[in-house]
Amino acid sequence: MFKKFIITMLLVGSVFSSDKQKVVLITGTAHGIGKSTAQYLIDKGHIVYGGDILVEENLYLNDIGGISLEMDVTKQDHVDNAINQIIAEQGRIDVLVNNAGIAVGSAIEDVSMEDAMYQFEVNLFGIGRTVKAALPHMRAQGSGTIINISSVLGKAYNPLYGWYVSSKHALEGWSDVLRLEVKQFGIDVVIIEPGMIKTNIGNYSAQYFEKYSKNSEYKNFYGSPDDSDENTFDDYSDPIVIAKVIDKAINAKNPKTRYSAGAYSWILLTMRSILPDKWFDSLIVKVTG
Amino acid sequence: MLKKILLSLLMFGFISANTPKVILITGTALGIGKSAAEYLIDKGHIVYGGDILVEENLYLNDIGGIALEMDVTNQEHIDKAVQQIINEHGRIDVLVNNAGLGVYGAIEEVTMEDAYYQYDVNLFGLARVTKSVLPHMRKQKSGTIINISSVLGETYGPLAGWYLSSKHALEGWSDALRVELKEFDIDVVIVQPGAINTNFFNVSGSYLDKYREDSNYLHLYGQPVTDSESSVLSNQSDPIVIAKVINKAINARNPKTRYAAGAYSKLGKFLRQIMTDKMFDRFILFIN
Repeated sequence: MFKKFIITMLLVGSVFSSDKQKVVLITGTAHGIGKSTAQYLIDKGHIVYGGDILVEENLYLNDIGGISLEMDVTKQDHVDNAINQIIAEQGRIDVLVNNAGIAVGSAIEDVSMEDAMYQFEVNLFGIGRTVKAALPHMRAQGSGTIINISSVLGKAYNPLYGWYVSSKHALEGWSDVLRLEVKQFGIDVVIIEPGMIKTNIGNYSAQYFEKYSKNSEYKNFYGSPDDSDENTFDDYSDPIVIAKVIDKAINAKNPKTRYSAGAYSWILLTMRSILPDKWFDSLIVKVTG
Repeated sequence: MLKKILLSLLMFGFISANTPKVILITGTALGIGKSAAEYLIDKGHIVYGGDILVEENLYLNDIGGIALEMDVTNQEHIDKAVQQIINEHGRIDVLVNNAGLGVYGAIEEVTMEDAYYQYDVNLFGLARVTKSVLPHMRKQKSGTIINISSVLGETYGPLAGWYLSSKHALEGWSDALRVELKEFDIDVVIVQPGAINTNFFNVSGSYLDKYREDSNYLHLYGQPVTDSESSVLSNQSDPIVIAKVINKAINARNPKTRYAAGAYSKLGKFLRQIMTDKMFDRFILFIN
């Protein structure tokens, strides 16, 4: 009896110690922040499942010790299958990194309702779906960490990104409430606010600029097409910066509610919090215009 | 030539000060929308009020307004309403996006269907109306768009996750819209009501009732909403408080970007601003 107790304690200790292997699900691992994070956490010895809609580009995971999953976060059965597979294979899920996201760029008035809804379908409802599927298991475990990748634009704003900005603002408030609600179950909710990161998201929003800029009444904001081509992202941060922050949040006994990192994140968040709205309006128009 | 300029300047001054404005308000059957419609009709403006509750909205026709059937999740209703206004007055000066509801319940337990509906009304519905009004306002090179957010657009509390995320979304959306519309001389104003004595709590209460049963978050629900929130209910402000703020924003030459008004609105925002997240977490759980 006593021996059994000691063994159990040892087992429990090893399970909960910080260097213990964690079962991690990351969404959107084919590129960018998700890919960088998957590689980094696999390197740290964690069991990493990575879901993406881009099945081919996601297969690298299987070669580096991760598990790639086909996962479109707008599809309930994809989400359910992913969680079920993880539970079937590992019996638990310790960390969920909600990283999959897109940016639907263009003036608010120009963007069709269909595109606007798709923006939220991925960036908010997709996260809602994944979280709702993972939570019953985390509650049963009495532990877990949910990491939501927001953006500095979850607090700040700029023209031509209104729909994206609002999806990230939504995620911030949503995560605040989730944190309150799951605290009693020993589950942490962490918001990450990346600044400017060298990822695919700019290319993604560019397709919307192409679609909407031609007949737009907001030509002043779009600028000439040449401008965007010349952006070499020299001043943007490598996604590894965010991967490291995620690792830090996962290992923290008592993680912060928000981590911001990457180029311009600190300055934008600071300016947004100290400047009156109209000053920030002028600043952001000057900077982006 | 000079005479003509002077004359048109005088005319302009006269028009801006005294000509009634053509106003569309959504959600006028009850609450803030009704109060705003009554108040602005009283001030001499031409007020169109849309609502999904057709019967309850008919009072407008008796007090000098125009009642419209308008479900903001229905594109056809919106196009028809805006077209009618343009046909009858040739312009639209003010849009008050007021229609909204609160889908309450623990985030995990609210169905995706209910979550979608929350957004279809509070954000997408509001966008549909705005998108349909904007071409006319841009042509006029003037207009005011007033978005009714909430103190929960900048603060938070348990069981209100889907609702307040839609209001957070509206805040950022309105910020971007304001920047984009500045060159067309269209103002975008965010109004953040606190606790207001409206039908809001009946609707959110019905969602709480629906989700309370079998909930894993029972300790957050406490007593049925009508009892547990009695202190909040008894301190609620009358919707006229918000109607007056809307009127103020409409008349301002240079309106503020945000107006907070009603019980707990300024206090809530202030505490959220000065407290760290974890302090605010404890505070908000404590008062709940």
